[in-house]
Amino acid sequence: MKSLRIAAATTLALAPAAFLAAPAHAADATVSILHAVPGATVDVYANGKALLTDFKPGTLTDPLMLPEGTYDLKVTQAGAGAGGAAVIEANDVKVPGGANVTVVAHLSEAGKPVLTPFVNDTSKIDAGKARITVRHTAAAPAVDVRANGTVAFKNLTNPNEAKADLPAGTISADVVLAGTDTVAIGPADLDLKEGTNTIVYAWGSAADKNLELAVQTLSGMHSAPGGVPAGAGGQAAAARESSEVARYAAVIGAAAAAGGLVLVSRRRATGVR
Amino acid sequence: MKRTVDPGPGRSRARASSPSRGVVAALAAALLAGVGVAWLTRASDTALPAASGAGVTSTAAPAAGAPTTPAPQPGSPGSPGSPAGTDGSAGPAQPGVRPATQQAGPTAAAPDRLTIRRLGIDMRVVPVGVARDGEMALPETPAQVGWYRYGPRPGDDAGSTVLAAHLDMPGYGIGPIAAVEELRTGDVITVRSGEVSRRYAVTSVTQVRKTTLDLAALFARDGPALLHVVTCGGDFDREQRRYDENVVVTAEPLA
Repeated sequence: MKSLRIAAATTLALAPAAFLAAPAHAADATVSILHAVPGATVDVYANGKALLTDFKPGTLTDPLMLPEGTYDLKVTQAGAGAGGAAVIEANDVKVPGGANVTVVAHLSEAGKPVLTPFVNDTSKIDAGKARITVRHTAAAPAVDVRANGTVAFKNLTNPNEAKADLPAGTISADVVLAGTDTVAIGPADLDLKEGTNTIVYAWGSAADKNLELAVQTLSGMHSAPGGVPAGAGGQAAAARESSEVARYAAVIGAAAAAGGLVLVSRRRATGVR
Repeated sequence: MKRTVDPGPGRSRARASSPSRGVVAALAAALLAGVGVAWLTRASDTALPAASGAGVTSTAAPAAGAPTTPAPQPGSPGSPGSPAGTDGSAGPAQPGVRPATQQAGPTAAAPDRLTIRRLGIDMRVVPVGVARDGEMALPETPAQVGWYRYGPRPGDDAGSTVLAAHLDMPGYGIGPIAAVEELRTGDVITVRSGEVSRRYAVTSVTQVRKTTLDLAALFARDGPALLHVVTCGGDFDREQRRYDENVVVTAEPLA
């Protein structure tokens, strides 16, 4: 009995260490956390350990490197402590190795706080293009997302996403109720930088009239252009060829002249003798 | 021309060998003159970037055809692919938190002028992107230089600023950029961005087949801050209207 208790105590004591030290064989995942529940400043616990304190709505963490595995996540009111009542709780949240994940604390369509892990697309983007990802994380019905006034993503529902690779540049985006022109959020200018994934979250609550956009940008997915086509006339090549021709003519000419001179002078000498 | 009398069998050896000696001497003179002219008209050393590029570069400049033309200089602390995410903090300490809004990035001035005094190059620089075929878009006229606007700007901490101009164009002729073939190690290139002029020193001039050009290295966005000046070279395919090689000048910023 006593030994069992010691074992349990040891396990507990080592738990944070195990959490901190990634096993050598496991790949780390890149995890960001977005707070998209209006009104509440919170603390976030992972496997019982405080991961974030005084986390405010509308803010986003820098990317964290976490060992792959499953995590028990709990969100409490700020300062409630590890044993405090959970505002949101999600157990066995899978964090796959090598993945880039954003865990979003947000409202369900019905307005209940939930945690949703989204896997971010960090695949390569063609040169000159940018990726946009839109995520519905608001207590609101289905929406359309418009870019420069035309519908880009149709009928998006909570907690789903849509994405596309577009030419890089600034777009004016707004969110309308699906199938209508009733603007729910925006318009807002979005700078879609080349080679990045700009992730836009619609969050808040339609009923409370606090719908907003949150933006997360992931970079480093750029590609190089396919080449540098820096000549189309051929004049430089032609000039080089003709100068080559002139050069060979000069070489041959000089050789013939020198040879001829020697021959003639020798003949003259022979003739005199 | 009248041929001399064929020497009879009884003549002296000296006289008999005289005409053939003359031919030998003439041939020797011809050879000498030919070699001399060939040497005098040879292309200047720097006009053979492939060979000289490797020779003159202080760092290991690859020979033409090597797939890693604009090899990043050594000594760069940048570890590609793994940017430090959280202010260098390791492990899951309390991460940095920021408002989830779009951050206005630093807006250093774009380059607008390329000057290489030794070659008499002074060209306007305009921002360019990607053409429909996925290749770098260049200003139509060889009189202007394109700056790859998605890549680093002059003055950025890391990565390669890429400037490229057409070597030639139908209806224009040969552009001023053609002279970069003659650059040598240490030559100074000046790039102006608005009020600020930055000087770079040439570290290598290489000529590489387009099929083996390492584009990721040429357009690198991390690693040491470098300037790459690019144009075309090699043979011209009249059907495709394309050159088969690129000339790549690599230069590093002068303090």
